[in-house]
Amino acid sequence: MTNAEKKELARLRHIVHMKGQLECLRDIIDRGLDIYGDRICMVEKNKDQILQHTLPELHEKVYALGTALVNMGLKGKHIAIVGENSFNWVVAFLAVSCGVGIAVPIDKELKDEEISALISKGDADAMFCSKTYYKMAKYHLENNPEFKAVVSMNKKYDDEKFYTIDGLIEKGKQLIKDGDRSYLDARPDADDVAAIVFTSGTTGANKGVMLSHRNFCTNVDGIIDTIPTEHSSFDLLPMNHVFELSCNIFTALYMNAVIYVNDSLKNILQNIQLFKPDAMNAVPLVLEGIYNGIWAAAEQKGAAKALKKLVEISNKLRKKGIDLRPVLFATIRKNFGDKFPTLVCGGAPSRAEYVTGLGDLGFRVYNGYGLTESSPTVTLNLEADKDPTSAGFAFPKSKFIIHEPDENGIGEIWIKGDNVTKGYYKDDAANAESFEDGWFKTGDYGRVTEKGELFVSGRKKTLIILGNGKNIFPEDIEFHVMDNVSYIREAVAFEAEKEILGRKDTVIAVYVYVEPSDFPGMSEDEIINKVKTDIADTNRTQPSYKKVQDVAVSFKEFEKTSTRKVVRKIVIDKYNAEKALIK
Amino acid sequence: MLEKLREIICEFVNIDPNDITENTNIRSDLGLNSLELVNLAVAIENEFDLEIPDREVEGIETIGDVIKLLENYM
Repeated sequence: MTNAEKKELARLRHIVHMKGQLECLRDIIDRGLDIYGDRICMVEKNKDQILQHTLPELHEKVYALGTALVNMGLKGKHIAIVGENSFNWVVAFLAVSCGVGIAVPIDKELKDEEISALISKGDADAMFCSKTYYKMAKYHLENNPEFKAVVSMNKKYDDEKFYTIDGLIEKGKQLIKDGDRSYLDARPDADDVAAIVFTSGTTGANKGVMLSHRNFCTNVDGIIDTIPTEHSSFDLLPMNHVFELSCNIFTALYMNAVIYVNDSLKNILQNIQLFKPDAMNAVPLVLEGIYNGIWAAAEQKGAAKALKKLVEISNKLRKKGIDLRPVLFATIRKNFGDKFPTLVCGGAPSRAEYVTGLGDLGFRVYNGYGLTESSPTVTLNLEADKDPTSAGFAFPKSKFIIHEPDENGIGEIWIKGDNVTKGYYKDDAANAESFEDGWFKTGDYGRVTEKGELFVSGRKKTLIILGNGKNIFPEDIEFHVMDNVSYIREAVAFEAEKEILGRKDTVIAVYVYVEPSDFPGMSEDEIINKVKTDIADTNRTQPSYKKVQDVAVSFKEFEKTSTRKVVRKIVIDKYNAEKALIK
Repeated sequence: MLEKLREIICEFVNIDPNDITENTNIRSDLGLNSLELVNLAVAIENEFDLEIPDREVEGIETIGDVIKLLENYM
């Protein structure tokens, strides 16, 4: 980008700030068109082709698709979206939420039956899906005859109730031409629900978080006020994840940072080299992948020792205010398209060594604390490599307090603000439990410094949080194991550190109680082996992030409370003590 | 095929090739996370000159599953 172009962009972004706060998601595309004209907003790959999409195209397609959906009788309805990240995914989400009804984005990694169950749980009457989910869509239609429509986001199917997004967009354009203003004039109010976003977990345990236009807009405005603007961004995390949707897609669209869509996890590095993005959202697993990848490559070339030395020298110089990282680590930077993308970490706490390690090489790393329920940002740490343990400071228009802190200042984190959900969809029990005096009780624990810096220390809930940012309810794992292995009498699932082939990782472990008398003629070792094999088999029907990676077997019943509940802590402590003994 | 797979896997993890059998579990025995599994899939695709859909990669549990997948796509 030339200096003149940079200046022009800075001028346009100044106009964005002058426009004031966003009121609804429509403002993002309306103002975008107004401010940036016919600039490119998204770039994606289709096989060997590179497709560039402009703001006018996005604007026209959203309005045409919205008009066609209203014309189909879907006004006020919930519409699910499931598929790989794409321009059409964004068009579908915006068309639905900006004047048709409520978008229900769904995790594409779930199994077909789980996706179908979530579509029902979100009361969706129609869905958008990519061709990967055609079979699932057929299955859902067969089991829900009243379901109104399936809109394919990329392929045509000769099937009743199946439409294509392109066909609907063309129909919508014609309707608008003929004077149909049903969608054009249906601007949503700030407090209308734009989406129901499900927290991780299966249908029993997960909750549908209702996020309004105001919720999303507060997050986008907050980011623009806090984070230095980048010219382009890489879209790697799934779009159904609020962190990606709100902090990357919506914000980038509004700031006209070109969004480069990663077509497959297989092509991450290749795509980064091709697109040379300035920034990307990442979960800890991605950070770890980048960091380990750099060191593995150095090791392969026999340069790891030299690289270590360079890092030491560079760190000493930085302490004196001399930053030579761009020169010292130029070879590594070349592999990332000649610039290190700014890494915005979310989803789960990142390990300090990766954050600091990447910072040492010249990556800019942001950290923070957020939840689906707060669309998602609560706090931001813009200097994560200096102190990776800090979650940073409160985000604009968002407040947090530490409720009833103990003698160490640690208490539950309660949040409040225009970014916080009004509640869970059709879940009175969860709503009653989660809100108090206008505050949302996060279930996470932390402390705050006098300056207002948040340090998150743990969780009240028994959630398992893995490096890929997925939250897993232990009960989900326990039920799955017990439902599929009939002789298991009790099961307790939890997160554990496991060392496999010399490397430590956070995994899902399960401690099960089996009765030896159920296995006549078998030795204890034989029983343990059988249990492990049978549990490994149950993994086959689980999505990758819910697979059990460590199994411990007890031949005695677990300790219970007076209400006959297993005391999880005792079981987990026993597991850890036994592991320590083995080491 | 198992021989070739052993070679590829040994480039990813520090393991004796003879310890890799059809029953070797990708996660609990080799310790691969989802991103590393994708990288392994890419190496396999390159070696055998084929393409495995992302959703099928997620379903891989054991080396035996990889062999079955390869047989389907070759």
